[in-house]
Amino acid sequence: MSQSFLPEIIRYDTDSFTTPNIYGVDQNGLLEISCKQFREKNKDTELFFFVCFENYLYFPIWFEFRSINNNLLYLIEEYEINTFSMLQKVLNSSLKKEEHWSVEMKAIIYHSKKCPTFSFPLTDFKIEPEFAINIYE
Amino acid sequence: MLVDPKDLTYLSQFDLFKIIISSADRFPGLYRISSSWEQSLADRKFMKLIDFMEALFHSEKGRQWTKKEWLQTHDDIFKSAFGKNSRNDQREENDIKETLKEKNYNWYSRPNSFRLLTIDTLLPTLELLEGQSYYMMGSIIRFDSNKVRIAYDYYADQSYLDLDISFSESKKYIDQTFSKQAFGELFLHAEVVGHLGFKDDLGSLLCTKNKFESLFETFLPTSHIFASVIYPQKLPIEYAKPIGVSNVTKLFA
Repeated sequence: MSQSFLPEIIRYDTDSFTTPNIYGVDQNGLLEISCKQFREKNKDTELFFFVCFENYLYFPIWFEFRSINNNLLYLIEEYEINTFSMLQKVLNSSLKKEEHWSVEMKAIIYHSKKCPTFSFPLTDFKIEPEFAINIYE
Repeated sequence: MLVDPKDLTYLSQFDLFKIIISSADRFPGLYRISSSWEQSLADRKFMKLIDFMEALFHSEKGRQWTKKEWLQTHDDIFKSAFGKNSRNDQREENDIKETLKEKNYNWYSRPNSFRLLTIDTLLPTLELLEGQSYYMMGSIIRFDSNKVRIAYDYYADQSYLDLDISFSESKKYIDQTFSKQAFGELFLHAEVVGHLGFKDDLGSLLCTKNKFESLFETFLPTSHIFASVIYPQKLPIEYAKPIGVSNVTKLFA
């Protein structure tokens, strides 16, 4: 497995407070990730990472903690927001309120061949086709 | 940087551990202790560890309080967060305002099982200690000799996930990535003290006495108590939005 992603997601320096954001997918299905100190509107799109295995949708624990849109399980599981269209509407509403801008939010669905490690099986959540970017392992 | 999604789908235990720890951040949208939270904690109507002991004493003698009484302080938080001129009221979209208000109210008022957590916000944490749990970014992380336990519940001795990582490996990574000051701000000493269950609207406290009493060796009696909902499927982050718990013995003597 390539370890090239580690410096973007894992901190190695002391008090280096940066947060990753996925903002694109290239033609080879690779994720474009930027790690910044603060949230900036440097891109028009923010992407969310889900994994689909055997028709079941999983949410990776690394994304729950580490993404700039962190703790999404609070909205998905505790608030029972059960569609991506509603989720992005709520998040963009907060973004407009706090930062006075909004972005296009979409969901990457990575269709894996094996069960993903350290991922939360979502109870009841649908990603509508118009918001989905499908990538196949 | 370009990243293969496969690398993020099959992470190793140690990489996941480092990613979780890397999430500790002072950025306002991420940091979990807001100034308003600290202000509300100063109010005596919030339960503290010493008050919990008193409530336990009374409950052993048969005293019970209703859900409305236990959650009255959170009703006040709800009103300030979702009422007139609240932060929610500043949203542009009326449908989102109403939906979030309704979902937030249902989130804390409907469940019948809660975890009760104490967080020591007063004594600064100086260094990572083995066999201790810490509130970090809304999750409780315990560092045992050969395990890191995510979303740890001391009362039930359960966690969302156990990672096979030794204390020395954990400490080495944390000491490398946080100065003493940042560690003290971002990792707060915390432990689940018990559960609160409701039947026919009356609350019962579940607590193991010797475990609870041992907490006084490491926590200040004035450490605050918060709640989170117990779901059938445990979550990795349970206290990013902690539920306020009423000091029932004082408010409803």
